[in-house]
Amino acid sequence: MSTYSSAQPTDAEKILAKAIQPNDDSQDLERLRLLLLGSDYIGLLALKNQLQDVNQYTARVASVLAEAIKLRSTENNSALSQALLPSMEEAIERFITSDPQKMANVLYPVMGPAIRKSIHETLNQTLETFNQLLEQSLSPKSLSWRFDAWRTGRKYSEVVLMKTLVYQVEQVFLIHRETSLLLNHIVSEKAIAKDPDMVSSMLSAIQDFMADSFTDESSLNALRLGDLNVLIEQSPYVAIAAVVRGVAPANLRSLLIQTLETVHQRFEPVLKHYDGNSEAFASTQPLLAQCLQAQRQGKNIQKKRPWLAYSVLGLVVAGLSYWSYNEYLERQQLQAKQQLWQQTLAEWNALEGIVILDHQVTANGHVIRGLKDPLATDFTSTLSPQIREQFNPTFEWQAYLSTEPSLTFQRVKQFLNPPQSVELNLEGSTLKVSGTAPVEWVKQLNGAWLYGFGLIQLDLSQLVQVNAQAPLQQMIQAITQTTFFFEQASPVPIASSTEQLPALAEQLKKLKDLATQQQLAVQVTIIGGTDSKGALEFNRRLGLARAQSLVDQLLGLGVPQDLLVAAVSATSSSNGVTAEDGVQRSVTFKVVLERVAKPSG
Amino acid sequence: MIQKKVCLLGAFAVGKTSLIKRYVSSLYSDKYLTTVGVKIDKKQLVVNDQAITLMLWDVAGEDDYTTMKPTYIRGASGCIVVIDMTRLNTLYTAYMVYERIREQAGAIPVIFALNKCDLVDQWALEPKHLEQLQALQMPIIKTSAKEGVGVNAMFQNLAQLMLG
Repeated sequence: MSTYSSAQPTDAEKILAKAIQPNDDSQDLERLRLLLLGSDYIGLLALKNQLQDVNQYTARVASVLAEAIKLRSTENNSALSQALLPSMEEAIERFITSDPQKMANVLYPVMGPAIRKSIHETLNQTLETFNQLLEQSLSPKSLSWRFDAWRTGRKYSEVVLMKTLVYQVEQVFLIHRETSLLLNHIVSEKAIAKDPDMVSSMLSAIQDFMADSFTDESSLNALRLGDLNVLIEQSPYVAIAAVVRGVAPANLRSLLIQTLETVHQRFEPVLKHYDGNSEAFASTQPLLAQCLQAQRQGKNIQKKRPWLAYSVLGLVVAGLSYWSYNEYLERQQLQAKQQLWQQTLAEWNALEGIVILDHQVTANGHVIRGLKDPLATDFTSTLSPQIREQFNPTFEWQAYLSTEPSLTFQRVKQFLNPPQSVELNLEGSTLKVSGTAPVEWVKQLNGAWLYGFGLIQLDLSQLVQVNAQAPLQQMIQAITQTTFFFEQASPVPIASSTEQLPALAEQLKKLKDLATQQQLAVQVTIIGGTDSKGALEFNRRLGLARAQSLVDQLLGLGVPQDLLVAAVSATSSSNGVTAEDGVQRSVTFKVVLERVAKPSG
Repeated sequence: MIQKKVCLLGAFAVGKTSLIKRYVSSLYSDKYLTTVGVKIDKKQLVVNDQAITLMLWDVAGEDDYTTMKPTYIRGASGCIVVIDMTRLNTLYTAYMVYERIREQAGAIPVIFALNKCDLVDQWALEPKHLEQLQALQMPIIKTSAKEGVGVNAMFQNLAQLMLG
């Protein structure tokens, strides 16, 4: 008793107190019960009280709720989850509606991988479909199928389906039995479904027709037309029909029954009072989708790598690489060609007396326009074959006068036509004239001087002007016209030449005197020449020996030593002289006059 | 989207099939009527801003040689009983059919369609017959499948009755 009173002290004590009050007539029955049942009665009352008091009952159930759910979920059936499903769906829907951001945050960590997986799957599927397409359109097997289709007059797709598919569930109908209205319908990807509402009703009508016509007891559960089967399963309120192409396995029917049971379990109240509104049945979609099963023929069941797709992709990649490599090479070649062209243009432009103004590419080659000095080197005739072949250049020149120093100098030289004894040099813009020149020529030089050549100064300080009629000039002419001839390889002049020696010695002495009188320094270079036969070194020595032999003989005849200088002329076959060797085996004379600097003061 | 099963019933050759032919989308040919005894068509309407699809069961007509299959009426939310105004006996068949409807489908909305109303000079139904029919307290609509009179109104009316 103390146990109950401690559990429910107030109620139990109250009842007990009432029961033992001897003077309360209305509680007689209660007292009797108490006397008969004792403490059990108080316990029962406490239990009753617990059940009636909402708060107490809730607390009691709450204490075992988790254990109850756990126990139920370990029993291997899905009744609990199915019972909770509608509430869960509603709860989740409310949760998402009330705070979508929270849901987004919760889902964030799983969304990324899920999306990646989905993309991966989609790519794989696409590749496989592509491969299948290739196999179906390219392989020998597909060709034979096409032949079959042509032979039997069927569609190619039908033949493929027939050859590759063991079975495929094409459509699933969920039908309300009483009204024959369609509750939900699902169709596989490649199948074609005609108006499912009407099909659903017609299926029911046919069922009724069969039942009316043949038997009342059992219902029609399969229809068959060719390789098309319709499997039908029914529950009290709902029927499920699966349209199967091929031979349906036995477990498909079990799956249909199982699906039907689940639908019945979840939607029984809705089905009972169905009024034509099928919205509630949209959630059966995943259940029905489970029934869309298919099995391909043995070989295709194994998941194999899509080699055909790989190889086609490989070929495409190889083709693209080859193409881009070629493109790259062509671009390189084009670049090299352009570079060569630019370089060539720059080279031409750098030539003296050439200015490239512009260039164009035409169908026949490159056309170059520019300015050209008449004295400029004609490079166009010596173009390399490579340039000719690659660019086929044609030139359109306009004449102009270049102020390049070398061309100016050339032009001045051509214009002035200086005598051999005069040497011209160009230093900056100053023309230096040195050597010995006849007075007439110097006059012409001064008169004809034109600034038009771009020259500013004329330096004549080193030029010796001589009068051609003067005795000095006549003497120089006489000396320079004297020539001694030699036998081959001999340093001694031939006898006929030697006869000139005394006269020459006199002329030289006179030359010295005349020059001294005119305050000029004079020097006579005796140049020994050889023929082009023999080695260069030998010829040089021979030439020098010839000159020296004449110097010695002239010194012997009293010619002053400071007047004479022995020298050798270029003595090889490469000197370009085409005169006869007899003429070259000689000694000639060159006279150089210089002004003597006057002593200062 | 609400769907409702609707049966078109009546004696043989009263024009049930003609009534719906021009106003519905069909999948099946008329031969189903003679083979299976029913042909199903579909009519979509909008009533009180609500879309409704009527699955129309065109049930083969009943005459002395053929009996209508009552199972086809089961589950219907509404019925159209068609009477040929030029043949009096089709009215009597309509009464029988009406009773069958009450047996099989209970108190669902029923509309009586007085078809072939364009053939005025051949009318066999007299005003007293119509009064008897009105006593059933069900809507009566005059229709002409040939001239397209009253057909849409009939479907619209029935849909409204079914939606309550």
